[in-house]
Amino acid sequence: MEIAREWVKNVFIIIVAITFVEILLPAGSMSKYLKFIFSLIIMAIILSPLAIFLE
Amino acid sequence: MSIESIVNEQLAAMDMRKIEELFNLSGSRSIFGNTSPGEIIRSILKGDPIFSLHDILAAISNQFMKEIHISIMLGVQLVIICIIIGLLKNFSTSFSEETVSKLGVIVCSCCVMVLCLKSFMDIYQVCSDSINTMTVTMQALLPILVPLLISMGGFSSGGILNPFIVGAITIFNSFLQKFIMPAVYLSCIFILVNSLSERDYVKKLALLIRGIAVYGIGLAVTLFSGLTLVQGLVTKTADGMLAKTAKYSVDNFVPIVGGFAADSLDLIISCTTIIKNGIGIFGLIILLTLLIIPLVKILAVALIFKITAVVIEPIGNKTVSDCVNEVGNTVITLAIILFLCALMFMIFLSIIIGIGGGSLWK
Repeated sequence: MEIAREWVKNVFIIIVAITFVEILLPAGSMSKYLKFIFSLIIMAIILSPLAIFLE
Repeated sequence: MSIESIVNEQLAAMDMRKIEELFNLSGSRSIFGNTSPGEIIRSILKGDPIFSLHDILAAISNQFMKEIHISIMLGVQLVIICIIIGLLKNFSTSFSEETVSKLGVIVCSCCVMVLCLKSFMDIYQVCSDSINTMTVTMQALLPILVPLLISMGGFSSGGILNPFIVGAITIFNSFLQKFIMPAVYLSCIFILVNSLSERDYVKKLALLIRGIAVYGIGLAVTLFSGLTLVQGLVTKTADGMLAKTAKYSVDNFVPIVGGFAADSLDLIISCTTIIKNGIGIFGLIILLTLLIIPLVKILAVALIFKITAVVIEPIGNKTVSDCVNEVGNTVITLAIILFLCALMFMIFLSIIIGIGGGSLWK
């Protein structure tokens, strides 16, 4: 239960933070790549509970 | 010795304060009027209807309108926020930078999120409380019903079904409170956070978690009620044999008065059956109220969410409208969970009611 709570909290905070950061990013050629990296971060956070099984 | 005097005698010897207390607590009085196990048994004996359909429907529709009135504020607030979002989007060209209006939209989305989450928390609490009260009701009813079942000859039914049903109820309750309900809650949070950005980050994940919760509870209900049903059928046959054998031996092996003794045995067993069924029906009424009152509330809120989603679709942005719609679906999922839980408890009670006594043994 504790793990699930922690996981949801992380996903929530990361998505809110990334949404705000994406808006404040200066519009340039780099922003596309940054958005892709952000998506990768979100994917990593969503998959993070799997790390417990791999240990 | 009439049936009524036997029934009254047996009723007077029983302690039913606890389930009458639960009856008051659950608010059954507002829907089913003033009733008690004794009254139900008397109306069974006389063949009167136990309650009037018209009054109940009126009470339920009253309750529904009341809940709609309470939760209509939520819908109005959501619509106002969405109008602001629409304005911000249209004004985005007049601001110096687009960023300002985008930030405004996100702040408004956060407000929508908080409103939805607050009302979802209320519903969650109501649902959780109601499931707990149902469990307590079942745990209060079984110690009354099972001794009656045994005293009318259902030795193996009482002996096997009691631990089985008590175990099933306890396991089911903690399964719901620990896994299913939190899973629905998580899926609601994911749906809400997904509404912040234009892109879908966790929408599929939220739907997956909700789907797992619904499948899980469906599986649990099927498993528990199916097993209990089969067990009930088997033990019922075994008890029928036992009761018939007892009656036959009294009839044949006790000289002269044996026939009368066997017949009065039958009468007393039938009276106990009537009492058991009366108390069982009383329990069913409590369970029904515990189902109906929260269900009406939940469905009213879900309706408000759905209507709001329809209203804000033209003015607000797509993500917010989708999010409100999905929160409405999640609230309906809670209603389904509550309904399945009540259904399982009712199946348990009807199994116990359905087990007959005396010449009713088949």
